Amino acid sequence: MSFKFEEFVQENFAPAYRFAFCLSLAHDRATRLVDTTFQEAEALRKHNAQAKVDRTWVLETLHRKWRACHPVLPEADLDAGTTSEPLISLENAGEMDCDAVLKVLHSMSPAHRLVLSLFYFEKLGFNEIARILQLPPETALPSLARAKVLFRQLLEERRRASDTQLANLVLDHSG
Amino acid sequence: MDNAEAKQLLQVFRHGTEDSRDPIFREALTRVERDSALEAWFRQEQDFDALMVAMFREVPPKK
Repeated sequence: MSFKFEEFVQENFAPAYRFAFCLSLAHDRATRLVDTTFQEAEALRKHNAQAKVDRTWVLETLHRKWRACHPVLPEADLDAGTTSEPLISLENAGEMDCDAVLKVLHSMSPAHRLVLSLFYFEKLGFNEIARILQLPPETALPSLARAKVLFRQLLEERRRASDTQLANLVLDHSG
Repeated sequence: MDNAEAKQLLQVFRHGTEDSRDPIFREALTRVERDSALEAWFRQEQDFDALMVAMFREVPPKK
Protein backbone atom coordinates (compact mmCIF):
# COMPACT_ATOMS: atom_id res chain seq x y z
CA MET A 1 0.00 0.00 0.00
CA SER A 2 1.41 3.41 -0.95
CA PHE A 3 1.93 6.04 1.72
CA LYS A 4 -0.13 9.14 1.05
CA PHE A 5 1.33 11.84 3.25
CA GLU A 6 -1.61 14.26 2.95
CA GLU A 7 -4.05 11.55 4.03
CA PHE A 8 -1.75 10.52 6.87
CA VAL A 9 -1.66 14.10 8.18
CA GLN A 10 -5.42 14.45 7.83
CA GLU A 11 -6.08 11.21 9.72
CA ASN A 12 -3.62 11.92 12.50
CA PHE A 13 -3.79 15.67 12.93
CA ALA A 14 -6.50 15.68 15.62
CA PRO A 15 -4.92 13.07 17.92
CA ALA A 16 -1.48 14.59 17.35
CA TYR A 17 -2.66 18.10 18.19
CA ARG A 18 -4.67 17.05 21.25
CA PHE A 19 -1.71 15.15 22.66
CA ALA A 20 0.74 17.95 21.80
CA PHE A 21 -1.51 20.42 23.60
CA CYS A 22 -1.68 18.14 26.64
CA LEU A 23 2.11 18.03 26.63
CA SER A 24 2.76 21.73 26.18
CA LEU A 25 -0.50 23.47 27.26
CA ALA A 26 0.19 26.17 24.65
CA HIS A 27 -1.27 26.35 21.16
CA ASP A 28 1.85 27.75 19.50
CA ARG A 29 4.13 25.11 21.04
CA ALA A 30 1.63 22.36 20.22
CA THR A 31 1.52 23.52 16.60
CA ARG A 32 5.34 23.51 16.38
CA LEU A 33 5.55 20.04 17.94
CA VAL A 34 2.98 18.68 15.50
CA ASP A 35 4.58 20.35 12.48
CA THR A 36 8.06 19.02 13.24
CA THR A 37 6.65 15.56 13.95
CA PHE A 38 4.88 15.36 10.60
CA GLN A 39 8.02 16.69 8.88
CA GLU A 40 9.97 13.88 10.54
CA ALA A 41 7.36 11.34 9.39
CA GLU A 42 7.63 12.55 5.80
CA ALA A 43 11.44 12.48 5.89
CA LEU A 44 11.45 9.02 7.44
CA ARG A 45 9.17 7.61 4.77
CA LYS A 46 11.22 9.21 2.00
CA HIS A 47 14.34 7.64 3.45
CA ASN A 48 12.75 4.26 4.14
CA ALA A 49 9.50 3.32 2.41
CA GLN A 50 9.05 0.36 4.78
CA ALA A 51 9.27 2.42 7.98
CA LYS A 52 6.22 1.97 10.17
CA VAL A 53 4.68 5.39 10.60
CA ASP A 54 1.28 5.32 12.28
CA ARG A 55 -0.66 7.04 15.06
CA THR A 56 1.42 5.33 17.77
CA TRP A 57 4.61 6.50 16.04
CA VAL A 58 3.22 10.06 15.95
CA LEU A 59 2.34 10.04 19.66
CA GLU A 60 5.67 8.46 20.63
CA THR A 61 7.56 11.02 18.54
CA LEU A 62 5.63 13.95 19.99
CA HIS A 63 6.43 12.71 23.48
CA ARG A 64 10.12 12.19 22.60
CA LYS A 65 10.41 15.70 21.16
CA TRP A 66 8.74 17.25 24.19
CA ARG A 67 10.91 15.24 26.58
CA ALA A 68 14.03 16.46 24.78
CA CYS A 69 13.17 20.00 25.92
CA HIS A 70 11.77 18.99 29.32
CA PRO A 71 14.37 16.97 31.18
CA VAL A 72 12.15 16.55 34.26
CA LEU A 73 10.80 13.05 33.87
CA PRO A 74 7.00 12.95 33.64
CA GLU A 75 7.01 9.85 35.81
CA ALA A 76 8.68 11.83 38.60
CA ASP A 77 5.32 12.74 40.12
CA LEU A 78 3.49 9.57 39.20
CA ASP A 79 3.83 8.31 42.72
CA ALA A 80 1.99 11.26 44.20
CA GLY A 81 -0.53 9.65 46.51
CA THR A 82 -4.26 10.20 46.41
CA THR A 83 -6.26 11.34 49.39
CA SER A 84 -9.64 10.10 50.54
CA GLU A 85 -11.51 13.01 48.91
CA PRO A 86 -14.84 12.01 47.32
CA LEU A 87 -15.03 11.06 43.65
CA ILE A 88 -17.50 12.64 41.26
CA SER A 89 -20.45 10.38 40.46
CA LEU A 90 -21.37 9.35 36.94
CA GLU A 91 -24.57 11.42 37.14
CA ASN A 92 -22.84 14.59 38.32
CA ALA A 93 -20.06 14.18 35.76
CA GLY A 94 -22.69 13.93 33.04
CA GLU A 95 -24.00 17.36 34.01
CA MET A 96 -20.61 19.04 33.75
CA ASP A 97 -19.60 21.21 30.84
CA CYS A 98 -17.00 19.70 28.46
CA ASP A 99 -14.74 22.74 28.73
CA ALA A 100 -14.79 22.56 32.52
CA VAL A 101 -13.81 18.88 32.40
CA LEU A 102 -11.01 19.67 29.97
CA LYS A 103 -9.76 22.49 32.21
CA VAL A 104 -9.54 20.07 35.13
CA LEU A 105 -7.51 17.66 33.00
CA HIS A 106 -5.17 20.44 31.91
CA SER A 107 -4.71 21.59 35.52
CA MET A 108 -3.17 18.25 36.46
CA SER A 109 0.55 17.45 36.56
CA PRO A 110 2.15 16.38 33.24
CA ALA A 111 2.43 12.76 34.34
CA HIS A 112 -1.24 12.52 35.20
CA ARG A 113 -2.64 14.46 32.27
CA LEU A 114 -0.55 12.52 29.75
CA VAL A 115 -1.76 9.09 30.83
CA LEU A 116 -5.33 10.37 31.05
CA SER A 117 -5.23 12.08 27.67
CA LEU A 118 -4.07 8.87 26.02
CA PHE A 119 -6.68 6.87 27.95
CA TYR A 120 -9.62 9.18 27.23
CA PHE A 121 -8.76 10.94 23.97
CA GLU A 122 -7.15 7.99 22.19
CA LYS A 123 -8.94 5.19 24.07
CA LEU A 124 -5.67 3.35 24.62
CA GLY A 125 -5.01 0.60 27.14
CA PHE A 126 -2.21 0.80 29.69
CA ASN A 127 0.18 -1.31 27.57
CA GLU A 128 0.00 1.12 24.64
CA ILE A 129 0.22 4.08 27.01
CA ALA A 130 3.36 2.54 28.53
CA ARG A 131 4.93 2.18 25.07
CA ILE A 132 4.19 5.76 24.05
CA LEU A 133 5.42 7.25 27.33
CA GLN A 134 8.32 4.78 27.52
CA LEU A 135 7.27 3.53 30.93
CA PRO A 136 7.39 -0.05 32.19
CA PRO A 137 3.82 -1.48 32.00
CA GLU A 138 4.00 -2.28 35.72
CA THR A 139 4.50 1.47 36.33
CA ALA A 140 1.92 2.65 33.80
CA LEU A 141 -0.93 0.58 35.28
CA PRO A 142 -0.91 1.93 38.87
CA SER A 143 -0.08 5.40 37.55
CA LEU A 144 -3.16 5.38 35.35
CA ALA A 145 -5.27 4.09 38.24
CA ARG A 146 -4.02 6.89 40.53
CA ALA A 147 -4.48 9.54 37.82
CA LYS A 148 -8.09 8.43 37.31
CA VAL A 149 -8.89 8.66 41.02
CA LEU A 150 -7.28 12.09 41.28
CA PHE A 151 -9.13 13.28 38.16
CA ARG A 152 -12.50 12.26 39.61
CA GLN A 153 -11.63 13.93 42.92
CA LEU A 154 -10.72 17.16 41.14
CA LEU A 155 -13.93 17.04 39.09
CA GLU A 156 -15.94 16.66 42.30
CA GLU A 157 -14.02 19.52 43.91
CA ARG A 158 -14.79 21.75 40.91
CA ARG A 159 -18.46 20.75 40.87
CA ARG A 160 -18.83 21.61 44.57
CA ALA A 161 -17.05 24.91 44.07
CA SER A 162 -19.44 25.77 41.21
CA ASP A 163 -22.46 24.81 43.33
CA THR A 164 -21.27 27.02 46.18
CA GLN A 165 -20.67 29.90 43.79
CA LEU A 166 -24.17 29.49 42.35
CA ALA A 167 -25.76 29.31 45.81
CA ASN A 168 -23.97 32.53 46.81
CA LEU A 169 -25.19 34.24 43.65
CA VAL A 170 -28.78 33.21 44.40
CA LEU A 171 -28.42 34.47 47.99
CA ASP A 172 -27.01 37.80 46.76
CA HIS A 173 -29.92 38.31 44.37
CA SER A 174 -32.58 37.26 46.87
CA GLY A 175 -31.12 39.51 49.56
CA MET B 1 -7.10 -11.37 44.88
CA ASP B 2 -9.82 -9.53 46.83
CA ASN B 3 -12.35 -7.06 45.45
CA ALA B 4 -10.19 -4.05 46.33
CA GLU B 5 -7.31 -5.46 44.29
CA ALA B 6 -9.69 -6.37 41.47
CA LYS B 7 -11.05 -2.80 41.42
CA GLN B 8 -7.53 -1.36 41.25
CA LEU B 9 -6.97 -3.34 38.05
CA LEU B 10 -10.41 -3.03 36.56
CA GLN B 11 -10.54 0.75 36.81
CA VAL B 12 -7.93 0.94 34.03
CA PHE B 13 -9.37 -1.87 31.91
CA ARG B 14 -10.07 -0.75 28.36
CA HIS B 15 -12.30 -2.95 26.16
CA GLY B 16 -11.13 -3.46 22.58
CA THR B 17 -7.43 -3.09 23.37
CA GLU B 18 -4.65 -5.50 24.33
CA ASP B 19 -6.21 -5.45 27.81
CA SER B 20 -8.81 -8.00 26.67
CA ARG B 21 -6.03 -10.55 26.09
CA ASP B 22 -3.74 -9.49 28.93
CA PRO B 23 -3.63 -12.23 31.59
CA ILE B 24 -3.19 -9.60 34.29
CA PHE B 25 -6.93 -8.85 34.07
CA ARG B 26 -8.13 -12.46 33.82
CA GLU B 27 -8.74 -13.11 37.51
CA ALA B 28 -10.35 -9.72 38.08
CA LEU B 29 -12.70 -10.20 35.11
CA THR B 30 -13.63 -13.65 36.41
CA ARG B 31 -14.55 -12.07 39.76
CA VAL B 32 -16.81 -9.61 37.91
CA GLU B 33 -18.76 -12.52 36.43
CA ARG B 34 -19.29 -14.04 39.87
CA ASP B 35 -19.93 -10.97 42.01
CA SER B 36 -22.95 -8.81 41.16
CA ALA B 37 -21.82 -5.88 43.33
CA LEU B 38 -18.43 -5.84 41.63
CA GLU B 39 -20.14 -6.13 38.27
CA ALA B 40 -22.34 -3.10 39.04
CA TRP B 41 -19.27 -1.12 40.13
CA PHE B 42 -17.40 -2.17 36.97
CA ARG B 43 -20.31 -1.12 34.75
CA GLN B 44 -20.34 2.33 36.42
CA GLU B 45 -16.59 2.66 35.84
CA GLN B 46 -16.94 1.73 32.18
CA ASP B 47 -19.87 4.15 31.80
CA PHE B 48 -17.82 6.93 33.39
CA ASP B 49 -14.96 6.26 30.97
CA ALA B 50 -17.35 6.24 28.01
CA LEU B 51 -18.79 9.57 29.19
CA MET B 52 -15.32 11.15 29.40
CA VAL B 53 -14.38 9.82 25.96
CA ALA B 54 -17.58 11.31 24.52
CA MET B 55 -16.99 14.66 26.25
CA PHE B 56 -13.40 14.96 25.08
CA ARG B 57 -14.38 14.04 21.53
CA GLU B 58 -16.65 17.09 21.50
CA VAL B 59 -13.69 19.38 21.94
CA PRO B 60 -12.28 20.16 18.49
CA PRO B 61 -8.52 20.70 18.15
CA LYS B 62 -7.57 24.28 17.27
CA LYS B 63 -5.75 24.60 13.94
